[in-house]
Amino acid sequence: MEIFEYAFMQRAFIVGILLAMIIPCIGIVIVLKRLSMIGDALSHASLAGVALGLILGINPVAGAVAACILASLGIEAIRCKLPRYSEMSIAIMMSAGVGLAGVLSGFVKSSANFNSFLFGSIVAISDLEMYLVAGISLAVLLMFLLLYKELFFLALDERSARLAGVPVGAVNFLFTIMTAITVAVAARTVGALIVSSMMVIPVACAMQLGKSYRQTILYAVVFDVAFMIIGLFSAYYLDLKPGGTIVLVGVILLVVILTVKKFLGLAD
Amino acid sequence: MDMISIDGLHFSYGNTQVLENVTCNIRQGRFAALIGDNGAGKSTLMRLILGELPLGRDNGEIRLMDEDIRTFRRWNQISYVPQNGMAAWRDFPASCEEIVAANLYSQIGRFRFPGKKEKEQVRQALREVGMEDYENRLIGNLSGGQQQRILLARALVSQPGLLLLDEPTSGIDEKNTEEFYRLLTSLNQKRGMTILMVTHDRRRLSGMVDDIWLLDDGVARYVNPKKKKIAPAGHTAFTGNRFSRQPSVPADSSTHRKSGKAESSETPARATNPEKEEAPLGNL
Repeated sequence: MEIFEYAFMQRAFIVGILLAMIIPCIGIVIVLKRLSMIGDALSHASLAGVALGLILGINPVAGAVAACILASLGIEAIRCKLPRYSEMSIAIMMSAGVGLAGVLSGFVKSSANFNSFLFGSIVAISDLEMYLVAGISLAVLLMFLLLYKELFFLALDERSARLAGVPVGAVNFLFTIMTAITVAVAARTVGALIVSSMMVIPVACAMQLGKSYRQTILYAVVFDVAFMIIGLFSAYYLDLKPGGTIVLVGVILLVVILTVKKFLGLAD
Repeated sequence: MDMISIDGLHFSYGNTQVLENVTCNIRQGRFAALIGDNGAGKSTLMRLILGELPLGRDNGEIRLMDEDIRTFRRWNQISYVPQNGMAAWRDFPASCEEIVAANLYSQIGRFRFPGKKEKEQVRQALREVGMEDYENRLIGNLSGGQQQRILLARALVSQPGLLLLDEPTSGIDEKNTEEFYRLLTSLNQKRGMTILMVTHDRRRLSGMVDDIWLLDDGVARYVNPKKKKIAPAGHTAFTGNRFSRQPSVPADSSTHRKSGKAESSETPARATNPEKEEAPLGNL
């Protein structure tokens, strides 16, 4: 196929599929913990890191990772202080991230570089970035499998999880770091403004069909990989922006699933 | 042995005193209920028992299974059934089997998935609550009563010594509530499991539980569960002196409540052994 003759498209597919495998794994825990907006907050915070990285002359992805880790720890700290109003922690960090990114972006000389993080640049990533994404994806996937029971129990009922012996603080901390790294890397490829949709939409689709937690995760991964492949093909042949196309494919499929479910009388 | 023993407990959020001088105990094998009006401090007491709120040296004493809660580590011997949250479970993508198996965490160990033995334990727990046919169903597709049975199975699967329930039947219809209570009574009698249930549902307690503790104005008072009627919420059964470690005041003494709203015809008693030292009840 013509599309695979280009090295940049091969890289885009490899990176896209790897990210599509890990993003829903993080996404399902976030959705079940009622923290769906955390992806938005972190991706906005990552923009502040990108801007700072560009100003200081360090790798903007490294800046994004550092900013995301700090923001996610901040969210977790506020959430522990105000457990009943955990969404507030997300709003605070999102505002802080946007504010800081807005101020710092004024000092960035190459605005094109900064803008590439807003909507991503999956077709413009280098070999080094591809290896970075591959390494991080494998690490996050491994951590997710190792912490499978713990993350499920925390999403289900944090109090009972603690009684049953789950090291709640440590697992929450590790998950926070995993989320931050995933969001920062995904922001570079699919875009900071889109990454949270990639976390939530495949999970929302999978929840319409899954008959168990395990099945829902598998469906979410399959959906996200499908969105990625269809999105990249559509972007290439229709000359569209890949990040936005990938998310729109997901939104359209979610609407189709909900409509079919309602039409078949399967909805609640 | 006392599974829960609380002595001179007081607790406040900032300047708001929630628990003033709580002293009560629940012995092994008993089925106890903790009742009280909204804002009486039931949830705070439950959170203290679960070790979720810090207990200072001068806050009094809580002992679980004869061990100071500040050093208590055997949390996996305690199981907890939360309030029914049908809205929370709606669309939750987990099968009943997965939810029950979660509580076998310490048995399964880290980096392992449930094996044959654990799956059989899950089936056994589901059988015990009459939900064996729902193993592969999504919890969100069940009724409120069925969901509570699943959460009860989750609590039972780890064979706990102490079962704590926080208003488990709120939002559940009469028939399912009756069945749920029958299940608890049977578990208590057959397994000898110690149960502490926080509830608003005072009507059904008579004849079902062994002990009733009433939280009123931050003080715990023992109520005789053999009374046919327990005062409904909003009509506090006991009035009188604040419960303290001082010897009980005579049964016929009448004292005013702090609020001055009611006059006592009853006396709160320190019931370290509820079987022997019951506070007398008047017309509830």
